[in-house]
Amino acid sequence: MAEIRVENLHKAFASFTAVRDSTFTVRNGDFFCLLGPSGCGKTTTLRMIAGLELPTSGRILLGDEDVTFKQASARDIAFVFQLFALYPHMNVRANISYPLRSQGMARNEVKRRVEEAAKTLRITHLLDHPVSGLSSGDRQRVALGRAIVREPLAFLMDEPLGALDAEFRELMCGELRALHDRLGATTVYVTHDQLEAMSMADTIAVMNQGVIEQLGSPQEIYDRPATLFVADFIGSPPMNLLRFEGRVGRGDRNVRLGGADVAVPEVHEEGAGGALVLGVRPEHVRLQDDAPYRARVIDSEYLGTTQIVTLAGIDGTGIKARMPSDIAVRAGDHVGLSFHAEKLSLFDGGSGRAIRTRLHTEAAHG
Amino acid sequence: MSRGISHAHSIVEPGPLSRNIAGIIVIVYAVVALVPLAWIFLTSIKTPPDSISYPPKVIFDPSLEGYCNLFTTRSRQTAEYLETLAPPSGLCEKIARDRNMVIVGPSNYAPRFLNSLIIAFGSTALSVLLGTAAAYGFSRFKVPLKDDLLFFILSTRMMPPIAVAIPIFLMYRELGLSDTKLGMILLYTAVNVSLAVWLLKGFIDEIPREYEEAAMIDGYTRLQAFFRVVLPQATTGIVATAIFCLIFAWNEYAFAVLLTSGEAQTAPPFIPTIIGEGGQDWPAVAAGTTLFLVPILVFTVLLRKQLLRGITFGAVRK
Repeated sequence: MAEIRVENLHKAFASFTAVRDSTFTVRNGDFFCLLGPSGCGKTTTLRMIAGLELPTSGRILLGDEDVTFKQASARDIAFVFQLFALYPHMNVRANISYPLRSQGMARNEVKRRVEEAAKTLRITHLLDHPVSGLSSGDRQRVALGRAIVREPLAFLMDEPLGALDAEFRELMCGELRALHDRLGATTVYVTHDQLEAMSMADTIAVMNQGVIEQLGSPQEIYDRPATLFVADFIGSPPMNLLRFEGRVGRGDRNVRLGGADVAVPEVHEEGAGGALVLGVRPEHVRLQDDAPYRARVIDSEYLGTTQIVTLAGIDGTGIKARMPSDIAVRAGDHVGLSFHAEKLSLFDGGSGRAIRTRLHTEAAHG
Repeated sequence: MSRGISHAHSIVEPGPLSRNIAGIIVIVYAVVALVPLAWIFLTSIKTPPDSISYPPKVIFDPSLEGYCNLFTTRSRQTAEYLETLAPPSGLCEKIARDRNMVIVGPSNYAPRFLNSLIIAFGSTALSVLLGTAAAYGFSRFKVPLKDDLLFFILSTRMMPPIAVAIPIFLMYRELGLSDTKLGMILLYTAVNVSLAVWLLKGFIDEIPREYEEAAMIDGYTRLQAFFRVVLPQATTGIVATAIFCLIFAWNEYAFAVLLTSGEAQTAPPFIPTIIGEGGQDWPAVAAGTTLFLVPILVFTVLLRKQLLRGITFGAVRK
């Protein structure tokens, strides 16, 4: 197992830039997720780490070795493809043993390793079956078997659960994470599904248009999004982004929003002004009749224990609030909204960057 | 609505009426297509007089004279001379004696047939080899001007090859390729390779790249991945392409007439030149044609499973 270091990685195709100057480190044994919408460069990044794509510039280090321009076959990594890519003309055993046979490993050893991998994945009974008849879950297990059997320096996975149906995906999420913990493997996992990333990852890199917008633990990314893009991308429904004009400076604890003063975490940087954005997670919105920020109820979506209430602010801004479903709301009601002050985020509307507040400083110290 | 079930019809299964009509069309077409072949086969086992009798004989005594004549050259002798010879040793000798002839040697049919085999299979192998390599390259790599090149390759099929017969004839004469097997193999390959590239590119495009990528990650070079993963997947396409190429090269007549006369002559220009006494030896011509059909028939029947899967190329993908 090894650490993966990516330094200033850049990949330009003829007409567009897929990855811009990415730098990050995947710590040894980390479960690292590259998360982003399709076309954001996450798969290209992964393929460059694998050696299936060569970078335009930058360096990739696997362990202490510079593998930037090495062939895929010369890097000790395993790759799990979205569509499994099991060799259709071979049976399960041959598929799993294929990477070992390329190394010219002794037959007994191959057999032992294949059976061990099959046992880990509980597919021993399938070893002599052709791959064509397998269910997609079993195919995925075989693909994982082919990856773990060679005990590589790192696992790279490109949306490995994307082709599974929802029910199975949840099960495999759990299995994958358990497998990762058991093997202590360094894993780089690409997905566009934030639930997968949130539930499995130690570290998430949120990518957009070839740039890593934020790198952090799932909690950091959820609680303190570094950019408007991350705030909007993570969470379902995503963070409410309330745009307003104004100024904030060091020490401010209030912003003026829709004719109301709204308390925010203390600002810990020099002022920013002009177009600003207040970020509020739906669960941090409460109905409070005497609150100065007024809104009208549009709709309510019942989700069992909670409900998502859609509201419109005075200026027509759409706001979603998550609250217990026993709170009665009716479409057309005029209500006051209060926000959970310590949890709010502020962004510079122009650059999209988060403004540093007590929220960040506390996390850094605590 | 009474007894709905018995009146229900499926939209995917044909009803009995359309099934019958389809059956009749197939039978009529089969008869139309097979009558000439049957005629040729029957002619090949007739005697020369029976073969030109009018009205044509449907009931006749079969004879192997056509096949004997096909493989031998004979000369007419006087009855006195024939009496001095030892009794005929084989069936063909006996047939020749009955016509006051003796066999003086083998005919050119066997070497011409062999030429056809060498040239057709040689050019097929070369076309498929080049076609597979080129198709793989076009399918997988960034090739500058890829679309233009592919169109250029296809454009070589846009006029009948025989339109360039005279330049090719002159070129071959200058290069010393006239009437050589190599020359014919190269010529048929040049005609077939565009078909091979286009057909095979379609097949190889259908093979997901992930297979090779997986193999490369598993520690194989691209070339190893090509041989171990891509080729087994492309077998169907390769077989279908090979059959198309072989049929063209095997049946080609015009260039063979123009460019070959002796050494490298193939069977198609040779067969119609089989002359008997006082005109065409029709049973021998028919026998030559019948035997000429056999290799393609065998090749196609052996590989028909692959071919049928291949003809539906691209239609279904898992």
